[in-house]
Amino acid sequence: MILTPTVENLTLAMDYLDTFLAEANSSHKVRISLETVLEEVFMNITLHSGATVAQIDVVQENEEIVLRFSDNGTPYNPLLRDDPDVTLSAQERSIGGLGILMIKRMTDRQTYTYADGHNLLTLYKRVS
Amino acid sequence: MTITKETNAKTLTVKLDGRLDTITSPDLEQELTDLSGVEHLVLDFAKITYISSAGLRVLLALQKRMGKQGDMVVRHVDKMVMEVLEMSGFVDILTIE
Repeated sequence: MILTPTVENLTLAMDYLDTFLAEANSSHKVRISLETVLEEVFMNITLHSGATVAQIDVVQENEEIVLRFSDNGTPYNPLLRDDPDVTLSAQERSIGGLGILMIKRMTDRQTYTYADGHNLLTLYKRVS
Repeated sequence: MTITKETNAKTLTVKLDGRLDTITSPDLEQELTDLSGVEHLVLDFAKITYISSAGLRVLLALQKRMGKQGDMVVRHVDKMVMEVLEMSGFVDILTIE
């Protein structure tokens, strides 16, 4: 689906994903994981990329659910970001980078390319 | 998300029902803007099925505030929510019962 990246449109993107996952009879764990990564990626695009258009596609390829994001924002590879230090105390902690850590931990593999003025982030989640 | 608050002396118990995400986290933040006089904050997560980094942000801010004026406990955490708290290292900075 193609949509304008706004906080309000997160609900539309989530409905699109949930409809697909319901038809695919996905497990609770897969559903929660993919909902989380969808929210993290979509909100990164919305808040930080400057993109005016985002495209989200979800398909199943063999034993994997594949979630593809494309946006026309500033070139940025989130996979290259250093993981945050998750051992710091509460007073020392900040929230920066946690979303991307969640994306990496909640999917099995990830790819990023920049082509034709678009960031293309693809996330793969095994269904079992 | 539904937020229910119960005050008993200096303990504020907050029962949450729903998803703690980008859309709903600001509601929780707003509900807990005024914590004056609260020494014990209890967050009941029994009916929280989902948390994103937006929810973690609010939890961290609350933990930082309560660390200065008392303590905070998160209760009845769902399995998938616990996985997020573990991968983010929040299990080490929160008190989870």
